[in-house]
Amino acid sequence: MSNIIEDRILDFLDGHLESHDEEELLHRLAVSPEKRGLLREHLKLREAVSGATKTEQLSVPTNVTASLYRKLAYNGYAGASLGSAVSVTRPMLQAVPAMKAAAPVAAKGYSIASMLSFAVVSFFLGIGFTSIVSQDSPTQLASNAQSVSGNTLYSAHSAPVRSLVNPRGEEPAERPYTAWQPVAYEKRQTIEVEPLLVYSGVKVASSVVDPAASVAMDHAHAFSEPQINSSFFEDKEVELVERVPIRDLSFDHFTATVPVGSSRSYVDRPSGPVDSPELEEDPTFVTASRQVTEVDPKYPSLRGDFEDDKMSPLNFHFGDYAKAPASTYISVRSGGGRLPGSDLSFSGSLSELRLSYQLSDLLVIKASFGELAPWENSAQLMGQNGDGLSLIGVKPTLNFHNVIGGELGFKIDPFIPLELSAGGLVDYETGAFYPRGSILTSLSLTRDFSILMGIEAVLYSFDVDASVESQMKYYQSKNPAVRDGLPKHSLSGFIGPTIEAAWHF
Amino acid sequence: MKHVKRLAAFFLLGLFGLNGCVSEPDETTSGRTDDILSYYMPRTTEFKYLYQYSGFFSGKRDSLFNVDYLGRTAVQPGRSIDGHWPIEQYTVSSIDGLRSVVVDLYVSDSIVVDYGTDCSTNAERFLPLKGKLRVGNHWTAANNFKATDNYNISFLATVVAHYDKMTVPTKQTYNDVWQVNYEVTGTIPTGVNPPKEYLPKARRVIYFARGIGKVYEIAFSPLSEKQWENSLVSVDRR
Repeated sequence: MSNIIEDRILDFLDGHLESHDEEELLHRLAVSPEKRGLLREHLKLREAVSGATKTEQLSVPTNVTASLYRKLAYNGYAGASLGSAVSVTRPMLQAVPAMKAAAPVAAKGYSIASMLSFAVVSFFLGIGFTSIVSQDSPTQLASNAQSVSGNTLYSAHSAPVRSLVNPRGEEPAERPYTAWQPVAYEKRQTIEVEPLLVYSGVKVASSVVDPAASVAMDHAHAFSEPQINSSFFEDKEVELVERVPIRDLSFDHFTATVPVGSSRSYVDRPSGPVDSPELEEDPTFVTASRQVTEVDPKYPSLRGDFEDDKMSPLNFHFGDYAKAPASTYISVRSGGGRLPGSDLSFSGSLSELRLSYQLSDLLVIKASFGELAPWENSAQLMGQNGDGLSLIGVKPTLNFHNVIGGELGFKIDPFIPLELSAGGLVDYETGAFYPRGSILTSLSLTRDFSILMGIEAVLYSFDVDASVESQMKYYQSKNPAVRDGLPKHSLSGFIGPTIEAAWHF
Repeated sequence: MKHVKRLAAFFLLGLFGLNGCVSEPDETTSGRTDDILSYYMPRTTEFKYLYQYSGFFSGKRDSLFNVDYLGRTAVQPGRSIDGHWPIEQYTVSSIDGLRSVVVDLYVSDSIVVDYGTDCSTNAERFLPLKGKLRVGNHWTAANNFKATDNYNISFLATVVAHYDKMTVPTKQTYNDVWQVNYEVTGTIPTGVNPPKEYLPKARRVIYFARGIGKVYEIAFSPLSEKQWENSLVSVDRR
């Protein structure tokens, strides 16, 4: 009898009850405090589910999805399969904000130019365009989204939770990043993870109000505890809030600090219920509480994550900071260029092995060693005069300096992530000092490997006089004479492009 | 955003302002003048010069000579043959003391005249410097110079070049050096066989360093064969 009344209440709430049945039900409720209590519980339950949906804090395990599709198939549904539904749902939900975010950016000229630049670089490395071809376009994604748009259950997915939990329970690819992505900051967010409670809808509603209160829940069928993947975290990054008792089990309620836009499963969840001995029906509702907050709201994540963790350069957005792999990296840099005002088309190069350490969001300190190879106006033996006197003159000469260097970099974000660095190089054989500066932007190829590109300048005053003295001593036996009017100093170095390959650790 | 732009502007200014931190590239080491007195031997008794001749005397490869400025001696030789006065003197003597000559000298800010051993004749009259030291300047350094018996020659002097530095065979390096060439002109009488250094088209090359004077001298034959050379070894206080 109780079940009949409960069914009527549900039909009433769904608006499926006939008029006369409504009158009868309302009468029964009017005379029975117990039945009114049942109605109130259902109203609370609907309110809770509705709230969870609106706040996008709902996550759906695979078995629930599978159950739904089994039901749909039983009822004659012949649409998309489970796999396609799962794979399409996530990019669909992400494509919408991604496309919205792309619109204002596309209106800016630099965006197009920058995209083209990166496309060219991608082509150079044979990476980017293959991802363009293989990647679903936003239009396709939106189209696919339409096919499942009627499923309100799936639309309750929240982007941050999805980025942390792989609904298929599969491990992501070892190196999921296959396209250019800017890396400027290691943005992190704090997630709060509570146990999941899966129950079977209306039949357990009366018992499921507050899981943390450990009330008797005769009809609760399944509990699923999210497990932190300890291999990704340092100890300090995971903090236990409390142990939550639910029925005769205890579950961790914890917070974890993870990178924004992460594509890895930093939080794993078992593929099936951990406790479902009395499962009478397939679960259709899920309650969960997963609050996701960004540590640094200054850099919002504008781009959604895609199902296969690939991102087409066409969807690239400079304001989006994907996962910055790490703050410390070792790299190889090479650059060169010409000196303003010089007749030489190429006046120097610099190749280095570098170590960078990020002091803060804005500052990075670097050390390096390598070889500076500038064309310098060095003294040379230029032949003899008519009286047999050996003449010392000056002409551009490619010299090689073994150097160690130090730099301090400032990271700014005017429209693309930029790193402005200034410092110096010291020839550890002669002690000569060479000031340097650079403007770089960085692109992540994988989570551990990135490319930095930009403009570098090494400009200094070359001591021609010292060079002359050196040559005079060297050619002393030839009675050298120095040509008149040689400069004491000359501006040397270069300004030009530089590229740096960095391995983050 | 405003702060970011300021920071970027500051950085760019600093980066491209590096040029301002270095010396101008056309700054030269040359502090040369065209004043002949700056390039002639200081007329003071404080120093003595030591020169080394190579191949000057047959049978003796090298010879060392001291040059000592005497100034106006107690016995003034009077006016020179060309009317210059006062006449100063210096000595050239081999360090073994076997050979020594006193040379008469007249110096002004426009001319240096070396009369050899007797200023009352022009047999050995020689003008190493005259006028201004500018490349291309030339003058007659000697006329009817008695090279050997029955053979007189002339020298045409030309300022050839200036060097910021030069190293002489004695390994000494000097700054701010002028090169003056002296070319022999004349006609060889029949039956006279003068040394190659006095043959027509032969030349003498002398390098004058600022504040020091002659630091290097070379005698060439008409075929540019080096006959001998004379290098300043040291300048010592007496």
